[in-house]
Amino acid sequence: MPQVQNWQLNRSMDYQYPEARPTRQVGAVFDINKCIACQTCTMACKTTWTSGKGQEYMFWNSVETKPWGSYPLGWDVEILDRQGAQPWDTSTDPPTFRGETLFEKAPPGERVEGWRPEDEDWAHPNRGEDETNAPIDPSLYHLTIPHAIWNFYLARICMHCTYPACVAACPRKAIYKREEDGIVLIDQERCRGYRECVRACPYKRSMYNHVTRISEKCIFCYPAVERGIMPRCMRNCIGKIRMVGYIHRPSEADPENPMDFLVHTKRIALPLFPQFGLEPNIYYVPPINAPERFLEQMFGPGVAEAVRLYNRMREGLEPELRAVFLLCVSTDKILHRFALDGSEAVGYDGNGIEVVRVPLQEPAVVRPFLDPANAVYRHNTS
Amino acid sequence: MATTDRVVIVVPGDHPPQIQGSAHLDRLKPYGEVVLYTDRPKSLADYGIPESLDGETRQVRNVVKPWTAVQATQHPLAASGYQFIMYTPKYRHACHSMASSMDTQMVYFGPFGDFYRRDKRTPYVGEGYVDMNPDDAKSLGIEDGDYIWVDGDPQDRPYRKMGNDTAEDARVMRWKVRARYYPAMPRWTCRAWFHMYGATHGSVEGHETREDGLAKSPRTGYQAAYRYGSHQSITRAWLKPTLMTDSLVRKDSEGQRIGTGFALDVHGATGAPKESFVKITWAEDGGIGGVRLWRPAARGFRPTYESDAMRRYLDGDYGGG
Repeated sequence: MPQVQNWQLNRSMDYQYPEARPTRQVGAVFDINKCIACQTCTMACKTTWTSGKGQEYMFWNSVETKPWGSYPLGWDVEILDRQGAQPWDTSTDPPTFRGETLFEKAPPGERVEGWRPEDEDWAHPNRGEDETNAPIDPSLYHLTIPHAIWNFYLARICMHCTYPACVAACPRKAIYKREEDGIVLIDQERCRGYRECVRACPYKRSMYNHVTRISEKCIFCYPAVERGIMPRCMRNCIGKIRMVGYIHRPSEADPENPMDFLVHTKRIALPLFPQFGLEPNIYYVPPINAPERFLEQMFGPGVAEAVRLYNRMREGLEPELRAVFLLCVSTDKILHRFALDGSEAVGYDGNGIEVVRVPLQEPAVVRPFLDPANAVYRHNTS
Repeated sequence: MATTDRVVIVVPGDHPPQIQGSAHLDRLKPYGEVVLYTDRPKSLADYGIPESLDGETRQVRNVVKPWTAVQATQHPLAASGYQFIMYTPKYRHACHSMASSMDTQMVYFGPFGDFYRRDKRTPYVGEGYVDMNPDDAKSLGIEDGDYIWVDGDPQDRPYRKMGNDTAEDARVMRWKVRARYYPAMPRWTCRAWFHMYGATHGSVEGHETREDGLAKSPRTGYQAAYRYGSHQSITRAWLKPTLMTDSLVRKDSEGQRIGTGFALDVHGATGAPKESFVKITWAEDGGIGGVRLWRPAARGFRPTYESDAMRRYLDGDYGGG
């Protein structure tokens, strides 16, 4: 079994194929604190890519309320229960994963530990919406951080992993990572619909089309990415929670690259379930309202520091972080570099050309109560 | 307005009093009196209306009482099994005054969406529902995902004298809806969103005669989001009197200009028919075809039905800290 380096685990691990990183790896950061689960991303994706026959149940982008929401049913509970709690060694910097990944835990005859959802598990995609972890209790004060009872919204697409379980599991080598941007695609000519990828992907982002009888998945809107434009789900984000860009390994991190800055320099954006071992390339800013123990289960040992940093930013102590977050979805261009120019955040495209400029503080105007032109007072009701 | 030494509670409509501070929600029960904050109360007698607690009079009846006296009263419908204050607010999956109609909207509107409609009882690829506190639901033998009947004041809802009506109207208009366990719903309250297309004679005919069970009118294509009735079955509006439509000085509907005379937003029917006091009873099991429990609950992924794994997950036990 080849050994590959997984920087999210700070160690090498077993993988089906030798390490072969793409020239560039595209990725994204989602700030959970800003997501309101409006599902605009979900519908932008649905109407673009999965309105055909056999795709009715598919949501390549979905948003689920944690902890009760899940699409498909119980996807994370199912795989976490199979993998079991796995230890991290926090005496190293960064922390080192000492447990077994899903590749290392594969049962005999399998390449990855996994499970295949039943058809019915894909029904009810928004089950659990807005539900809290526990019953309401009027004796608790709910406006402290973290909240006494809580939930948060988890927007999900394919993670375009560095070590995809779908690639490892496919017996026909029909799934591949593009050399130019690391986007993971299923070759629609080669695929025969064995659904090994559906079984293997722990995030359950490979979906079987029962009409074409082959599998398909999120393509990170590669036709847009090839033109320097963000995917549909990203550029339609109402809450502006998403940063799209190219991510490097920690040793090659560029602190002026917004992705590297959030993931490596500041470590405020964390991988989803790093313990699976896939080195996923969608990163999350953990929600500050949820308890640390639940978040560590989901985002690994960096949670406490990320939350601390986010609170510092809220207090106005992290202007560079604020600058990067203000640039999220302020343009549909993929940003390669950012700068803090006085009181403005600036974003640059791949050619170094400025494509967006955002003030850290929005200008505000207060109009006088009396409007002398009409001799009336300005009310906010008509 | 100066208060006296009385305790004055603000309680519009069927509402319970606002509970302050550390008071427990089990005090949140419906009282019999409508109490308004005022130091110049006019009584029914001032308007020549006979004292009564019927549904019409309750809406215009202003009574000032000390809190201790209000506390001792009971809602006149409580003796008939009415227990819940239902409200019908706006939600995120549709525009304000527009019902949710597209399949992609409805499949994501709430927990019961299924593009393949594996349960042929469902009216559409998604359906409206009532959020209930799990303890409230359990006390009535209602499981997560079951269908329930929700009845409003029988005096006028869904329409006057329905209780004695054996006509088709009663079957079409009485609200049958799905119950959903919602942990953050305060006890003795429940909620349904107002964006759902209600059942009509046509949609009921479609639901009962079409092979696929869609609640879709065979004549017009009208697609309902309920099998029977709707949130409108348990609410109603009270039109305010249209006074001074010729001479009242008022603003335009938009902007800041002052004008006089009739303006729709000023003189028309305003005030959404949002709240109601309802009775809830079990109707059908939530499993496919009405057999046993709704699948996500049976699989242990719903509040109060947690599997061992789900319980560990909620506690964060799968982390490696």
